[in-house]
Amino acid sequence: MKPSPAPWLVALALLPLAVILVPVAWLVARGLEGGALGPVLGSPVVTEALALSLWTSVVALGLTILLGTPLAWLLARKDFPGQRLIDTIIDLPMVLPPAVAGLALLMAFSRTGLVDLAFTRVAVVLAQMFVAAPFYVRAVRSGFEGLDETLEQVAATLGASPASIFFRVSIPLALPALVGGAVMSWARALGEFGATIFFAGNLPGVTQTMPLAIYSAMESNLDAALALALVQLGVSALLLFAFKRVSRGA
Amino acid sequence: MLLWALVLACSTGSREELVVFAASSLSEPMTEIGVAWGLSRTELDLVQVFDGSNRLRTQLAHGGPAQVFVSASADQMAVAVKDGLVVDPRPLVSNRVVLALAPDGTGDIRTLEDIVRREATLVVAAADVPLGQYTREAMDRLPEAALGEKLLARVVSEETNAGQVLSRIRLGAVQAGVIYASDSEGLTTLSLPPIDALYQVALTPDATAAAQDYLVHLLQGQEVFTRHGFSPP
Repeated sequence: MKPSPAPWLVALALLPLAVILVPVAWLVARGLEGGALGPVLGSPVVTEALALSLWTSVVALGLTILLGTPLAWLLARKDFPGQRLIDTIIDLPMVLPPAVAGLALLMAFSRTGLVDLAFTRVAVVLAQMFVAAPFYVRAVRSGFEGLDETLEQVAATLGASPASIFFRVSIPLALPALVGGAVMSWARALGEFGATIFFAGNLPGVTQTMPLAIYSAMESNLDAALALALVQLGVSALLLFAFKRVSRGA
Repeated sequence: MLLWALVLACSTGSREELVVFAASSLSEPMTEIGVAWGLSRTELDLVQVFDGSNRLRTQLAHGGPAQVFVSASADQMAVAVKDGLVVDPRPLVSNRVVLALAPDGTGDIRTLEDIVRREATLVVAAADVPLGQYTREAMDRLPEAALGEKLLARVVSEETNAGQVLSRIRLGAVQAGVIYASDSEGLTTLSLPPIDALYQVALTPDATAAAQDYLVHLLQGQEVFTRHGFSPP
């Protein structure tokens, strides 16, 4: 029989859970009490912001998977000079304050920079990718690193081409890591705020995603902001939960 | 809300502290006035927090520690009075709005019509915040009826306070934006119809003698406000 954990250990373990749950529960209670949920749900600001959030984050995720998977594989499988530097560069957006990321994107990609993409939907997607892609690359890289390399070698001795090894051996074996990384990256993109508002601006129906709509609503109507926050919370939690179910099945 | 939590965390507890919440467009003149006043009051610390009027009013409603509130719009002040947050508002200064051009690459824009004709990018404040409200009032008063609407169609971003609009223009991220005349120093501007942008100041019901003294000092600072591009109320 396994020894049961010490009660103090259980109490300590529950503490971080409480730190997350207490404010969330408060938000839900206060949001429902405000009574703005009904009217807010049907308003065009919400439907537009929600649709924009969903499709930009899905596009960002698709591009991240397309571009991030080969990069993660290369970092996991090959040794080359400058690898540590590349590693650091990839992690950089995770430690940068989103406002700094937004400012950097704005400087590089606005009318005084290389090419003017600022204040467009492309900018929304770029901002999301900038902050969220490292979560994917990191997860997938360690997924590839955890694979038994002999399986790839066996496939090679059996005459499989490098491409077919990548797609038919490496990817299927690392699939849980790919799905896990995709969920984290997508969730981060959906909640992206700082880089987006700096770089893509805040225009309802064009670049105003849900987090920006919540921020803007706080200026005029706290109850509406709370209702919007509830919508964001619900959508994020639901999609995260669904993804986790799917990935367990995978 | 983080801001005043920080303010609280930093307070030593032993010294008396006077916290002032003021509209972000007032930061320069009020810092100048505040420093002068603070020098004569060594027994207390003056902390002036500058942010959008709406956000400051919300913070005040949720226990923000300010005893003085300066709003850039009569509307926000009226809400604060109605909610019992402050009493007896008084006019402090008035302001105008102008259309300011980015520092570079806008030489071919000389009139408001040029903004529309050249499809320039424009940034304004959101309609809910004082500057945004004044911006739309000024656009409505343009002599040519449809020009205001055409200008607003060039907007690429709606910011939540005056400082953000200004930084967009100064960075050159957009070609033009509507800001307070008091913020326009060093920028090329095109004038917009005058509007009634009246700033008001009020004390909380529990304001101390020091807060009263600060208020008197602030109301006497017209010379400083004028130097920073404001007009008497």
